[in-house]
Amino acid sequence: MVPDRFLPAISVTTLLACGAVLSVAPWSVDLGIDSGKTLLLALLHIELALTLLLPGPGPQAGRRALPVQGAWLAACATSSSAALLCFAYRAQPEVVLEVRGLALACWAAAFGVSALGHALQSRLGGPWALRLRLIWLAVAALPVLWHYFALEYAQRSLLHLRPLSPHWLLAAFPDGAWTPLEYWPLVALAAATWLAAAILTRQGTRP
Amino acid sequence: MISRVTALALLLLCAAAAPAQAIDAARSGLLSAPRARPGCFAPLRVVFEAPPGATGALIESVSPGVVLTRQVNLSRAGATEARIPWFVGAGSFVRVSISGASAEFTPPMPARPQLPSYGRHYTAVFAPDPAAAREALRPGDEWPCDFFSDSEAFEDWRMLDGYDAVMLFNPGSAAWPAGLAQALTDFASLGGAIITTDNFTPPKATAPTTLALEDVAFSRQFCGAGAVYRVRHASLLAATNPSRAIIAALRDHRWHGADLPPSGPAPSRAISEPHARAWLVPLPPHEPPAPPLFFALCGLLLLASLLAPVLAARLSRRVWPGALAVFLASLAVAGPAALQPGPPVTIEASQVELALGDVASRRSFVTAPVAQGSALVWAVNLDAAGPRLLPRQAPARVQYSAWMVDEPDSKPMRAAAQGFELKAGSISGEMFRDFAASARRGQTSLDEGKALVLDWWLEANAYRGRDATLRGAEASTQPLTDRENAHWRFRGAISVTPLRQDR
Repeated sequence: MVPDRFLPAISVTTLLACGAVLSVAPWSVDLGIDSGKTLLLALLHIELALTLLLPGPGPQAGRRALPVQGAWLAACATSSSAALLCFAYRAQPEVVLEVRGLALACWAAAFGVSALGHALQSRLGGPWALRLRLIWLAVAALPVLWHYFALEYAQRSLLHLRPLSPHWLLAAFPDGAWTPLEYWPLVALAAATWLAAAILTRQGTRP
Repeated sequence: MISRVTALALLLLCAAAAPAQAIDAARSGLLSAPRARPGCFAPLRVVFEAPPGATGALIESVSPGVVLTRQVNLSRAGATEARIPWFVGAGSFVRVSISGASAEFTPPMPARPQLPSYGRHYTAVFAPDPAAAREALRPGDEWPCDFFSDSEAFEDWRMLDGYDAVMLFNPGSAAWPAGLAQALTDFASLGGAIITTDNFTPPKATAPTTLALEDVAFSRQFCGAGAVYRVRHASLLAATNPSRAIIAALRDHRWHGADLPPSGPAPSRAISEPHARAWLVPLPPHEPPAPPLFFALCGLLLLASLLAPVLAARLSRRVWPGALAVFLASLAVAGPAALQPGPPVTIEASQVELALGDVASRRSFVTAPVAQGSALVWAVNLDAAGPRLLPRQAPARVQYSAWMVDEPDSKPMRAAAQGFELKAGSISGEMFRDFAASARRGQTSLDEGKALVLDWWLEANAYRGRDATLRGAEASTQPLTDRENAHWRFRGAISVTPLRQDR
């Protein structure tokens, strides 16, 4: 497991390293990154992938578990935003700022799922943190695959699942032209998981 | 009945809504009315009421993509008159601003628009007595003229933009304004014709040659792509039909010494407009190198995210101070990072120069992307010293703005010694399109940018039957206008020396 205190450093290092690699001329040309805006869009996709791939903060004991996890959430979201804004010399910072809401919702949902998993694990036993993380990956990362399978085998479109997948939403609207709360399922998921974790943590600490 | 208080309040409201300086619409308008050339700038008179205490007024001639400004000093309150070039086209108007308040005025479009034509020579005539000049010259449909008194003579060529020719009809020794000579030199360098009955001679004109047109003796001097035709006042008036003689002189210049007019529609200036919309396919934008600030911010962010939690863990047994330190440090980095100026706007320019001897003028074809949803506006201060540029908006690709910028009396570019002579639509024994294609393929001495401009020029001019010598030239590297955070990319330039048919 990664120590909690290195989560922001991992996200910052990953984003800066990816930015440096994608700026190297032959690779950027091969990848079709021909302008600063496309570079920032690529980094935004990497940031959204980090929210899915990074493990959330580890289990905390006591009543302060949720505030501590919230503090790491704020640190990770802010540090990754700052890393992306460092590349604003290549494109207007609006490209980054327009996606902040979606990225924050994604960070909050990922850390909320992690917090809920640890709360369930401490209350019920069993690998609940891993189970919920697997479900979270299936919900947020795979709607495009489900859409493809539904089209291929059932001739049905699952486009309505687009707000669940941050990458799909960003790819469909690279200019951030979604309505402010089009990604409401992510916001609802984040709110529900944090609320459930808070209730479970409170019940678990009751004498 | 309206109560006294209500009436007073209404009066106060009206007074507040009315601009401090009102433009007198009845006395303002085109000096050339009812004529003017659409798509060009025409002289406009603006009469406005200056409020007491005001010392200066800013007059703006606003047209799509271009704003011309002029500062007028106000010596007294009351009616004040100013003149400014105004673009004859949809969406253009004039704005007068005094002490923060402004008023706008849209002149009516000309009742007799003068479209460019090789058969009609639109001329501005300056004479001490315009009525007598009109009576003596008798302009007609083939030679539409606007008459101005000598005191109205323009000191800026941009007021003469819409005219094919300028005539100085001076029976005596009228005292022309000091700036008129420069305005006429600029006008001639851009390809305009000047007919004079006095001793006006541009400083860099060639030696005079004598020719007889309609039994009237003219002395002709070339000044760049333009020409000055001098005729004695008495011999012009003694001619059976003075206007026929002047039309013959104008044909001699505008038809390049041929007996027939060039084919195709006439261009508004000596250098034609590009032959098609979307004439310049922009290259990818200029990518700036990483500034030192980028490395400083990245270093700070890395250090803060790595060291802050470790140090916080040493100083405190609690976990949240580390997260809080990273949060605050990231905010401190994100602030200046978001305030970086962003990438420069890449402005591309290609240039065509008309050069003959030491006199040259150039037209620059400029393209810039629309940034953040708002198109760029080209602002020109008419009072500023330096090149007297005149931009006008041109058709552009989607998400781009384009201008054609005329610069008179410019410093000749460094051109290649080897020239390609265009004669009867052929260059070096090849049809001009085949030559342009081989130039685009890199089979001539011209590089890609020059070949592109050459292709445009040939498409727009070769079929007219014009002869010329074409050379690749070194484009200037000076930005055409001051604009912050802009990267100018000069893609190519050619120098064109027009050749007459009767050489």
